[in-house]
Amino acid sequence: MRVLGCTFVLCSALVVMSHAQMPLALHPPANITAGEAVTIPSSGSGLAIFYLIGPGHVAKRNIQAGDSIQIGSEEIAAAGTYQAILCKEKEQECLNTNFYVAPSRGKELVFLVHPSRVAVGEPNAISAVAVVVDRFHNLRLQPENVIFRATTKEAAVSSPPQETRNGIVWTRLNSGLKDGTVEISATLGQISERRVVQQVAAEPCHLHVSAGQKGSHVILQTEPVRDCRGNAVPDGTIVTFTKLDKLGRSTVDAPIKKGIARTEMAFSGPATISVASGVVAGNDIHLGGPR
Amino acid sequence: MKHRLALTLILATAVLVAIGWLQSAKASGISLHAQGSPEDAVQNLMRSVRERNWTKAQSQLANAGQVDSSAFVYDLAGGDGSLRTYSTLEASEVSVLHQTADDALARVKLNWSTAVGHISDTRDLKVVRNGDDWKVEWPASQVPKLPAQVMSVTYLRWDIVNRGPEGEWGTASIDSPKVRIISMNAVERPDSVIVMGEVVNEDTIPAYVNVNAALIDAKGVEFREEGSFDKVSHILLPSQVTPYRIDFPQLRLSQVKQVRMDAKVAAVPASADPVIGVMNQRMETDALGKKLLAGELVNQSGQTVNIAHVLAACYDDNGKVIWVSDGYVDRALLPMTPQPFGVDLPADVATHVQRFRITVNQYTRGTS
Repeated sequence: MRVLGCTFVLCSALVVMSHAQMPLALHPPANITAGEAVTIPSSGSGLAIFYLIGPGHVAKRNIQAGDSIQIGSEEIAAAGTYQAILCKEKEQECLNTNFYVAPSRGKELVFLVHPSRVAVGEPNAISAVAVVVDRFHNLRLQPENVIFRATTKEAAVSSPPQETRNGIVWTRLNSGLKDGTVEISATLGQISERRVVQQVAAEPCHLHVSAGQKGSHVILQTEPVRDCRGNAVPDGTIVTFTKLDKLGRSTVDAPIKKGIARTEMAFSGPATISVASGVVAGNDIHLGGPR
Repeated sequence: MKHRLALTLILATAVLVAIGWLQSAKASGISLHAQGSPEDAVQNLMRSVRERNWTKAQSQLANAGQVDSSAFVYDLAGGDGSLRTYSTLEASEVSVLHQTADDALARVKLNWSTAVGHISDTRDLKVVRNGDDWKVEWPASQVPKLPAQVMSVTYLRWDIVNRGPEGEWGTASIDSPKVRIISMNAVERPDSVIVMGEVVNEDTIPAYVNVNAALIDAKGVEFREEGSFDKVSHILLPSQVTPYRIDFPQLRLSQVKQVRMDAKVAAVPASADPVIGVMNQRMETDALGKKLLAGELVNQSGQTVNIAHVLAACYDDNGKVIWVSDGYVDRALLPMTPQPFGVDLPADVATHVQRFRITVNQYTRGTS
């Protein structure tokens, strides 16, 4: 009985001594995905402090060395390199290991389309850039297939699937020949993002003014202002009417409304009327006298 | 003895009261004697105007009975939210141009202190003798009255819809309008360096524009920076061109090696109305011998424009902008009612001006 007692005490002492000498270690899994809870086994003995330092999170907790450490899904939401540190309590000894958290599957598209307004008939005028990110907005570095699609009132065109490189894929498009909106979308599996680009008429072409006398006034009016492809120049574009007569020069900057620009000026004898919009000059007309 | 002291005290009090009354009357501009000269008559009238004492001012006129009170007040105090309603008469300079025994012609330069700085207004007034007095004969004026009418206006307005305040990265936002500085010229004036030129909105939406210039010295160091402040039309509609002018006081052009221009642009909500025509533009010489660009503004919309601001770009025979001048019109622009304007032009610049272009900014109460 006495011998058994001595053996138990000796064994317990040996166990305690062996634990006391066991070095600290952390064994993170090789593949960790952002937002998925993970267990990191540890070795060692006694009370210890565990630190987790990541791109978007820092944590500290007291643990029993040798136990497995549970890392919650929210603690590793940001992809990147994390540092795990295990320190023995009341001692200077610390162990430090790094592990990488990979982004999860692509769940969102950041879709940048530029410009938001473009003149018709411009080659490579529209750029569309899609960036694939996971549900935590981590850049999805693994290749994914994205399809670009441009839709106007008249037609729709799709690109073949394009593989992302380092999470990014882009394309360039010509602007169409007709004004109006073009909807550009990027699709990744079931996810789709769309942007709208306004295609607007180019510079006016064949600006033409006509005049009609009304009492002591003359009414000046352009024909519908269009670009050289027949697209209506946007309303609000300024057309400058100029009247030159014996009293001097009179000018009115009138905006195009419903496709035409119109103004009224006092008529006080022979005058020359001209019209211009931006760098485009229209016809001249002579009123009330010989040409 | 007792009565003599009381009498002396009463007399002394009466004398002091009389002196006090005379002094206070003088201080408040009450004429206790005849207005001995045409100049005095105009000065006294202007004093009443400065005090905004319209009843008294009108009573000082030779033709008080024929002058409509409301027209007289409208003429001097303004109305319809015009710049004149935000002005006070600071000083007046009177000079007599011509005088006979019974009448005279006086020129008065009225210096108004306004919300946008000093504005001068020169008038020639007829002054007539009335017994021992001289009195100003006020030119007949009327409160502008428009015939009742309905004006149909096709309003055109741009609004901007943003996705939200979060400013989430990667969401589509509205591109800033494409605005280009099409010319720049730096000139030296006796007391300053002036950078001027023109800016055009090449986009299809309105743009808010502010032009800045930074001066760089011979060592490549940026040493001064100024903005165009109100010497530019800030809201530019598509294809619209505005002159700009940036003043650098107390500077010589020799100190400047380079000018770095920068146009700050933003998309803003705007309206295409009102349209203001600039009619009968001409270069002329005013009563004081100064060169100016003059003409009439016609508001072609149905709403009153409270304050109009005229910007003029002058070009030489090579089409280069050699001067930009501006001026505020202190009368409101009523619909379809011509309103004269004039902007100063330095005499040395006027001789080189071959062509000019005048644009109008407007401020209407209750709108942007």
